[in-house]
Amino acid sequence: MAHVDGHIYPWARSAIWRRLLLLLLIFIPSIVASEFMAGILPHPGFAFLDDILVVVFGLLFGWISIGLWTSLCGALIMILRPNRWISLTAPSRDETKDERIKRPCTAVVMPIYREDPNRVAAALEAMYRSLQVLDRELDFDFFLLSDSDEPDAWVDEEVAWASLRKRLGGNVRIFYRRRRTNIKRKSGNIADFCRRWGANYTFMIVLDADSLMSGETLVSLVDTMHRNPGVGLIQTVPSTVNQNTLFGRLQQFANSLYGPVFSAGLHFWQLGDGGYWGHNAIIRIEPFRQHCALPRLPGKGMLGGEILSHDFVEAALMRRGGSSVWLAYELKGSYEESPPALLDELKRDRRWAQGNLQHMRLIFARGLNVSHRVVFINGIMSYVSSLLWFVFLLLSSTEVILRALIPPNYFPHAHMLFPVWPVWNPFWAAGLAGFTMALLFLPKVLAVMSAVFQGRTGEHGGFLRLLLSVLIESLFSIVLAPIRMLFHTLFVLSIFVGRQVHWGAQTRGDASTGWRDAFRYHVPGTLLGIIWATTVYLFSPGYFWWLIPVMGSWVIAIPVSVWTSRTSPGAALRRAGLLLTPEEVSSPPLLKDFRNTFARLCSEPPKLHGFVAAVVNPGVNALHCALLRERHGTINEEVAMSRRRILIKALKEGPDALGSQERMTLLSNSDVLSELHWAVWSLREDKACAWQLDTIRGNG
Amino acid sequence: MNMTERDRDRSTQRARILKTDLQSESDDIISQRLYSYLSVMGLTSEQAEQWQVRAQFGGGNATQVFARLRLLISEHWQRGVDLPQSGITDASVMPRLRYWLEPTHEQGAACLKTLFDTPPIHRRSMIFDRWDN
Repeated sequence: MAHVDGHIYPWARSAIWRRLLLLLLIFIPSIVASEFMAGILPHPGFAFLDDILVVVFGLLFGWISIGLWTSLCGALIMILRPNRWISLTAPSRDETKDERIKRPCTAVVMPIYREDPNRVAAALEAMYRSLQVLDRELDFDFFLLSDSDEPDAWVDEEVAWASLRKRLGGNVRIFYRRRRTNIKRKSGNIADFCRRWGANYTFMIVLDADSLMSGETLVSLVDTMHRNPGVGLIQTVPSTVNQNTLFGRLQQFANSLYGPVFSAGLHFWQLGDGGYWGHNAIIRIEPFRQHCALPRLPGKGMLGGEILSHDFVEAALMRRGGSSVWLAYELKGSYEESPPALLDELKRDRRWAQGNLQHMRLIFARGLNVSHRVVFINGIMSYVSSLLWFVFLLLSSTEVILRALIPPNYFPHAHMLFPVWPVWNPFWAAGLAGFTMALLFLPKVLAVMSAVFQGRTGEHGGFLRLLLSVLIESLFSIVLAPIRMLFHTLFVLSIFVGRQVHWGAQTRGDASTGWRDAFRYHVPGTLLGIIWATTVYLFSPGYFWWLIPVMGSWVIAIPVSVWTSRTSPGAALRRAGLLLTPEEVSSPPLLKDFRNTFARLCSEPPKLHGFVAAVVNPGVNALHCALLRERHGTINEEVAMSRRRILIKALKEGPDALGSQERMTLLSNSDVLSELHWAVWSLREDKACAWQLDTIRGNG
Repeated sequence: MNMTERDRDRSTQRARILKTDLQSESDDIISQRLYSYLSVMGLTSEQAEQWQVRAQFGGGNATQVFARLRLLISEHWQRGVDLPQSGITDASVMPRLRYWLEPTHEQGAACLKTLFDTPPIHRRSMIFDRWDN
């Protein structure tokens, strides 16, 4: 294991001082706030409950203050613009094309799993053409790395890829590979690429299926890595784009306004000990291959097995191996999409919660940099803080109810001459609550100030529209935060208890939430809110009003979830010039190109697609058969007979009678698929209609 | 008991399918199917009609006609054109793919030549570095 002393990095000393400062900024106010909280709680109280309340409050206060100090530093950086440790330059045009061709290419890898093939193809095409404009397309090889295990998705990906190759010209270097066996999901997919083709490249740029990066950005990253040989990974800060639902546009606006400030602040603390977010980043392949293979965590529970949130761990391992990891907070031209609805975000959060909680097993792993241990803790707290908030509410409600049920003990100690009256300071409580709320909302104020000082208000529709947008976004965040808290609490508890919470597949695009789904997922929280609030009201009407912001959100979660998932309110706000982002005000060429290409591809749906196309369409069948790597040697007779049985079933009963596994069996062998292809075209009329042969006319 | 796939009698396999009485016998249906097949492949109406006639020459049921078409495709489009070797048993795969990629033979061949190229594979390990090293 390579270990490099931190002091040899020029930024290492600065990093230590900055982090000590952050520690003080978090620790001291949290202690003071906790003391204040202890003073607010009624005297005499329930000592045990009070102690826990004070500790929980202190933890939560410290947690939310991280956001404030990070945003403050970020805003100062953006306004004052001090020297940066890594300079991200514009694409170099000094080198000749011949000189660049001699350098190994960079691989742009996009792992996909059951994604919309049109979207993926449109993204690759837009990025490739963006590189062509700079005359740098030969510096990059693109890899579409599929793990799709669904028959239709598999075939549609191949067709989309071949069509893309056809559109861009025969010599374009965009490759498609589908893994036969999905080991370790996305991280395993990337590792498989590194094992097979990694030796051909110095760097790889990892994308998600919904990622977009402009040619300038791709080239800037490569040039920067060339100039900084000690850097192992540079993470860009993707801007959220292409959101149409109200929920999506709220997230998109928040990302565009608060994201830059927060990212600059993150960079301030992290410097070369930064994080990796799994996509829209460039990685130096050799140290990644040597140091970033992931362990399998022992144990069978939710916290064992494959590491789900692999990106944080890979960054920690890269740093452990001696290469630095940076956040390119100022680099534009990096984009991603976000879940279009609250329930979709929560489905994603379920996975992320488990992935982050798994990092509890790694906090004390040997050899890791302190900053990355803190990153693990930070990720854990992203979800455990919700549990702490829930516990705080529960304990405070419990104390209030106990106080109502149990008469106060005026003489708590023996031999007292004078009674001890219960003391309660509601104004102090209001003050502390107000201060805490200020802590939560100051980052938003700082982001607005940063936009004003930098003259960026026009990117959000002007100053007044910006203020109104912030107000709207803040209002929704007040409503959505308690709903998220409740679900995150459920996720954390279920993970600790070892119970799986089942959700459907994550949605991309604009599919809205139906009332049935919203009811199914939110009604327990709604009932909980009604019961809890009613109980507190019966015992302590005064405290009831303190709970309204939280319980009220739980009660209205169903309509909020449905309404925010719709595109009409999002479109209405856009027409009014609200929640605008820079990419909406002035759309970059990459995004325009992507949208046009995507729209064009979606407007030309094939008559047949997926498994049926692979069987029926002569071209699709040929493509799929040609892409199957021929396996030589013997096969088991049972396997051969099984394939034969499925083939006969397909001919007799049609494609709808086949299950997914049967379709995959047929798709996995070119001989059987070819036989099926010719046999289907020869079928009797009554059998042939199941394969939609009558819809085939002209180009299919 | 294991058996090599290529040792299996393919005509026996096809005969097994024929015995299940699934194939079409009607000449009109077969003609329509042939025309549709060739149109989907990207041939013009005139070309599709010519190939339709050639495939149906000699009569027979649908299986026999399409088997004839398969052979014709394999033979015709491989003449004088250098196609990538795929190792696939069905020799009509590459010609069908070439024609599906581009309407003209030359364009399709050019696209097909590089479609399956990938960078060389130099396998290297990626093994987790133990914590206690």
